[in-house]
Amino acid sequence: MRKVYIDISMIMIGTKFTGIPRVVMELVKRIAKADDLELVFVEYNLSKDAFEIIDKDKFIEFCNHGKDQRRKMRTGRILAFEEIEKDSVFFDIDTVWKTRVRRSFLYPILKKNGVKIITHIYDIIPVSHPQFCAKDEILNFVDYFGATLDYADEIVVNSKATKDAIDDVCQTINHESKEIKVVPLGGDFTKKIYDENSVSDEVKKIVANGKYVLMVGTIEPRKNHRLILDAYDLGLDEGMQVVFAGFIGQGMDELTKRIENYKENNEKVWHLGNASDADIDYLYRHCFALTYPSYIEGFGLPIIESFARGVMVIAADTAINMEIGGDRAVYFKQDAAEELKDTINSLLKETDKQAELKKLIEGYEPPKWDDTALRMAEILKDK
Amino acid sequence: MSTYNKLFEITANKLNMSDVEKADYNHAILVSTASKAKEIDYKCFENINGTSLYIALYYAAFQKLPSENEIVETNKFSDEEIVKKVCNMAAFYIRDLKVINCPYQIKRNKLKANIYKCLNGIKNSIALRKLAKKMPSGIQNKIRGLFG
Repeated sequence: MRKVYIDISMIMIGTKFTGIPRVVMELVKRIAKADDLELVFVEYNLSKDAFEIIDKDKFIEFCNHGKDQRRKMRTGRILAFEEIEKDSVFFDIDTVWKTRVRRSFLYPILKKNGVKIITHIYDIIPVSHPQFCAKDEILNFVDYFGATLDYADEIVVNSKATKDAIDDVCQTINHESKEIKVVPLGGDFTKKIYDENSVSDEVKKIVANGKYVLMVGTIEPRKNHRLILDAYDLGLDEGMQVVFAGFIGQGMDELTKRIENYKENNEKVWHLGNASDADIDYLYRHCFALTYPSYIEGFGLPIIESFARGVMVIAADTAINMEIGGDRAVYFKQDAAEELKDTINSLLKETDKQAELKKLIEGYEPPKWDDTALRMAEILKDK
Repeated sequence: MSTYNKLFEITANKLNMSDVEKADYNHAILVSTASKAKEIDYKCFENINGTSLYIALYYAAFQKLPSENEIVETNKFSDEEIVKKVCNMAAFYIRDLKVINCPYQIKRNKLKANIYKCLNGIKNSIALRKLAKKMPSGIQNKIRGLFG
């Protein structure tokens, strides 16, 4: 039985379980069922300056059913970093660059003790696109990424685009290349069927107003919501509306003000900061298309979520978008507002093209979490 | 140059950082690499002074960078004053940090230490974190500043 240690310090104090924490929870609850693997969840204990073991069954229960018993999950069993056994695996899969235990400190200890280090890297945006990150985030990420390059035995990523980005960095800094395995994330989150009564009146009103392009996700600089507004200002046909559904992140005062101005002038631009799952599902199903102008993404789950609902996607022509979207999406030159406007307006007119895209999307099967977990388990079991 | 500094070089070039800023952050990286969670070895800081020292020490302690205002404030401080300032911050006590090999005498306020250590338990309270997330961003920033 191979022991696999997973640091869940950030999940143990987290308040939201979207993005990376969600991925961790989807994966571990499946990997826990694998034969020959014994998962050991740990959290950094400040007073002991060591790991504390977390009750595995209670944590898996939390992942499965959201029953939050995190206060009762701490077992009091302390594990010094040096006690992690030889030939076990330390599988870093969470946002560990934010924890107290720097990987530049931890990984050499593990390496010295014959522990296999496998790091799951979602993206390297703080290095490849630092303009979208706070400087302390960059420094923390550099510690984690640097330690991964120097000490990890294997790296797991979710797309070829991320693998290529890491390979490029290794070449640039003259670092020996690393073994990198590509394992796409699952997209078949448990789909609830939402009763229309649970959809908010505001959302129903927006949908009833007419066609709209949708963007789902946190409003932050790298997602480039600004571009859609620029395209709107240049003139979208048939009274096309713009709908943003997502929390407002840091550094978005200018965009927030711009959206408020649209609202004051009765323009058809909407922002929903607290849309429920039912609202989001309804918005997806009734939109003209998802627009996805991000400068950079780690994966691009909204593209998969759109296809799974039979929704067209208009995306920036970045490597990651084209890898995830394939020939099912329509692409425009990144950061080109005029081209985005033209792409939306052309698609509005070209009903043949719409039919063609919908045929390609029809019956789309998103990648399965079970397959992702199976592949991860194989990697963890490898000698 | 270590892997860490080489990676930082990539980001610094992309951000068109000034030489001064680059040097400050390189120092911060150098002193923090491979450091323990609760211990700061002042030996690593011996050749760093003034604002650079403040930035490096602050980052080593809190895994965050000080604000521009805080940096400007410390422009006129001596190195000893900078060290004492950082070591007396609430977040320093809450994170239960200690500085070793330090040439300056840092008086540790035992009462303050015990009070703030209790606050660390509060910091990790999920219920309170959820509550804090609902507060206006100004208050959230103040809370973050307190807890580090």
